[in-house]
Amino acid sequence: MPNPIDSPEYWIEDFEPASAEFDALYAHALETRRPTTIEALAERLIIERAERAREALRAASKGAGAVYMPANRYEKGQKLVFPALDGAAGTVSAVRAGTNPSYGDYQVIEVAMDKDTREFAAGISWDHALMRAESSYEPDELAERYAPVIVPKLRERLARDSEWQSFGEHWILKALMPEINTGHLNLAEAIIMLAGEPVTVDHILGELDLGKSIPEETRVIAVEAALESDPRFRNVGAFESPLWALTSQN
Amino acid sequence: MHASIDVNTPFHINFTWWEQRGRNLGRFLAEILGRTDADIESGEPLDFIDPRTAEVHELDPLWVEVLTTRAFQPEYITPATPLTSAVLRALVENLNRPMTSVELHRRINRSNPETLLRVLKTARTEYGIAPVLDEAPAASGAKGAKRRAKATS
Repeated sequence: MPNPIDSPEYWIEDFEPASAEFDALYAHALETRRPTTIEALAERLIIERAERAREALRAASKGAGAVYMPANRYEKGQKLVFPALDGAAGTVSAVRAGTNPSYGDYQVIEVAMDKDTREFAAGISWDHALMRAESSYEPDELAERYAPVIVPKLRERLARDSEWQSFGEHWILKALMPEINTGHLNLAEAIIMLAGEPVTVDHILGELDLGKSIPEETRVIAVEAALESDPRFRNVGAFESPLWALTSQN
Repeated sequence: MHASIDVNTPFHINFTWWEQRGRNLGRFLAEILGRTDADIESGEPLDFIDPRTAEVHELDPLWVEVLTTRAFQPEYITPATPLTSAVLRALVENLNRPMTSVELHRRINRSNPETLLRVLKTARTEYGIAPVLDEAPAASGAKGAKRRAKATS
């Protein structure tokens, strides 16, 4: 049974990114054309999920009836939507008296759903979690609160996807990266050699013709990834602010 | 036991196993409630209202009492609870809806899913906890629990 979308359990236990959500992430990356931090991607994914859930519930409510609340009483034939069951809908097929006196005076409604018939409490007078929740979450707030929770799962999922590439905590679609060829790398080697000291990637980037229409962050990450994978170069700076030297230089 | 059992295989309490061995889940529930055999009450199934969804399940009165007075609380499953008993308690709390080793590990918060899987493989002989693959799905979950409610007390 799913946890409510605004509960930590939902994001820790239940959340699995759907392929449609990855498509949306892909489209977002194509639109920005820049490397994005894993946290920002996680936030995007949560907003996508929360907006879809809210839309689905809205659509279901319009066509399928009232939103079920255990404090209300219902009649046979009434159509209901159940937010706590991922927006499942059904029709009240019977009403009976409750059998457990410890809950006070209440009714039990039998609801015919798609695949089976289930029973729900109605007319309860005590404080139930569903009455407190009201499902009034904001996608942005959920994203801010739960993005760190889903980062490990997202990182693992992106790492398995051949279309994405990481550089530190930044991710980008490989298709957006400009090609760094042997000529570029030879030029980079010459630039560092002439400088006679370790240089930043910005120093190299100015001399490489990589197309100004590509965002600078994307060009930087492409060059850094290429330098990192070429044994002629080594990073002698910090991981976050690399300084590139030649392996042959002392 | 099924050949492809892993940490994602769902397990549940197999009530058929309990019936076939003439064992009584009611006694286990009474123990949780701190009662002796003499205090075990038999009665018609009672409503239990799910604290999260408000779904109603008709269960044995002892089971309802465990759910409303003991389950969902920190002292229901503690580090001192024997692992097999903790697994049974977790399934009772979950209305016998099938749980995987990973899910049980999250609830019990002890050991690791792999070790719990080994415990589950031996828990059948003690508590009739079995992979769902082994029997008809109708006997699992709250509906199965309702169907077998009378057999527990």
